Amino acid sequence: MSSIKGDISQEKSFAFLTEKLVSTGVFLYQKESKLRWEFKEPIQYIILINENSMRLKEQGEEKRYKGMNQILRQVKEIILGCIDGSIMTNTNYKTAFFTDGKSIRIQLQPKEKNLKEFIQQIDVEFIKQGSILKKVTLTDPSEDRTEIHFSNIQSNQKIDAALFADF
Amino acid sequence: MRLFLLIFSLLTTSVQAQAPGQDVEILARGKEAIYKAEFNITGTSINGFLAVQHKRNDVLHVQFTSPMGNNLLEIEWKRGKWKKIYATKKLSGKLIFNMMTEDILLLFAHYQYDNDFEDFGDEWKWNKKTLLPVFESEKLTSVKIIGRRHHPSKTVKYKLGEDCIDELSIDHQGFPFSITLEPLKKLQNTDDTD
Repeated sequence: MSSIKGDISQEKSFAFLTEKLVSTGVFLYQKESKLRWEFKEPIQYIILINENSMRLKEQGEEKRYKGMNQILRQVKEIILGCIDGSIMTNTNYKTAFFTDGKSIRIQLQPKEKNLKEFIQQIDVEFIKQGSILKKVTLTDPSEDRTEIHFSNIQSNQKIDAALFADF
Repeated sequence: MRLFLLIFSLLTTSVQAQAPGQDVEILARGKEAIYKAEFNITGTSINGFLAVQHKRNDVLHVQFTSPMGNNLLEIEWKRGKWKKIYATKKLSGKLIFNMMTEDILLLFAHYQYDNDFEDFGDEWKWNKKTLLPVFESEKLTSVKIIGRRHHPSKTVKYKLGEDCIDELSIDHQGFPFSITLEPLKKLQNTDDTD
């Protein structure tokens, strides 16, 4: 697959709230290592990854702060890893595979202490036919869960290179 | 005479120390809400979401998450103390943490449930600070907080919409620190949580 694009819907559940937080947007991926991850609602939030360059824009303002690259590196490793499948061979995670016939779920648990503080578990779910990414669930150390649902997935479409270069 | 004055002042204090009579409910007992949040800390702005639950027993549970959904801060105000459940390094420094947690109590006017709170009408006292509330049509629109001598003051502002608060913010004078919150949903007074 040379490129993938689609819609994202992120649902964050809080252990102490009945209400859920839903963010929606789009994602674009171009082989190798080019990603545009964009939430449009309720907060405008764009992550641009272009090979080794990583940029972040929040509410119309490009962010540069200490420690940002470390956060983005982790985001790159997790998101890009789930999209291109590289997370399954990443030795930083302990992996387990499950299937119910229609879908495949890969459970990843970080081995490194630094990453364990940030995330307890990642579950990546694919539709078996066509290996289409369906859902990624991130579980916090506090047991809160963030589910990212992927829809309207289109692969091998031409994507304007400028979308990975600038906001 | 001194003893008499002391007894008299204690009596008046205990009589006047009560919840404010006007409408200062920001997040009523049993309610929860999620806010778009912007923390401005010494020139760096951090955007995310603040999830807040005001339990019936006046415990305030607060969680700040990044737009990617990961937890940055989780705290609980119970029996006059904050319990830190989780905080990232950037938010766990003593100065920032204390400032931020006090500001959260001020934003939600949660001080009014504290034993330390005293209502003198136009002036409130809490945590060795003087609070000067401003009301418009019996709704709280701002509170100026004056600390001890040489301590910078801060102001809480409530932007009122139709039957709800559209935005709440706190800004420190003389120190680059502010928090702005905008509810994702207009707060309805129907659903309860315990």
